[in-house]
Amino acid sequence: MTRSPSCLPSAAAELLLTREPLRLEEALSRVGGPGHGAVVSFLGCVRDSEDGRPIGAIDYEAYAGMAERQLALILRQAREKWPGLRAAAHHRYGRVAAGEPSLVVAVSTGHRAEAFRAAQFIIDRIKEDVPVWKVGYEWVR
Amino acid sequence: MKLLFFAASAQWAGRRELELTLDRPVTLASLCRSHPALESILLRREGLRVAVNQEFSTFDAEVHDHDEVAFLPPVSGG
Repeated sequence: MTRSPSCLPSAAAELLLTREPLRLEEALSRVGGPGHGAVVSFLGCVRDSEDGRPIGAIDYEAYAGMAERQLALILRQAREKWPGLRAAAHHRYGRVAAGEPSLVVAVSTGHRAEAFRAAQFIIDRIKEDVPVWKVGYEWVR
Repeated sequence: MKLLFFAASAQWAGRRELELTLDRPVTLASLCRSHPALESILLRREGLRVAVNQEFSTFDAEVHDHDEVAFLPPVSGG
C-alpha cells in the first residue's frame, strides 16, 4: 500500500549510519502523525566541486559506534527542547557520489516554526559532534 | 587498551590502531608522552578531540587498560 510519508511512524530507523545510499522516504516515514501539521526534511548532498576543482565523489570515514551514539544523543536533546517532536537522522559514509545525499534529516511537530528550528538544531549539532570526516576526493579531469 | 586514530590523526600517528597494556590508570596526556607514536598526536593537541569509550573526553581524563580511546580531528560530516 502506498501512503503519504507522514501518516504514522513506521519501523524505519530513527537513526542510521550506513554505507548504502540514503532514501528520503525512509527518514520521512519515521515522522509525522496525528497533530503533526509540519514536516521538514533536509538533504545534505555532495557538491560537484571542491575549491573550484570538479569532483566525482567524496570518501567519508566514520567512527561508526560513536557516531550512532552521538546521533541518538542529538535526537534526544532535540526531543527535550521540543516535546512531541518526531525526528530521524541518517548519515552515509564510505564513497558518496556527487549529487547524492550524505545526510538526511526529517522532523515533524505541530507547527512549522518549531519544525524548522528543530531541523536546524539537529543539522548544526551533527556538523559539530558526530565523528564523521571527509577524507578524500575523487577528482575529475 | 585500544587506541583508534581517525582521519588526519592516522597520518600523524602513522597508524589507524594501537594496542597497549596499562598496568595502572594514567591520564591520557601522560600516556601520550610515554609512547613515541603518540607524541606526534600531543603536538597537534590544539583542535583535536578525544573520546574514551565512545564519549567525548579530555587529555586530563584517567584511562584504564580496558578502555577504548579515539583521537578525533575536527569533524567534517554532513
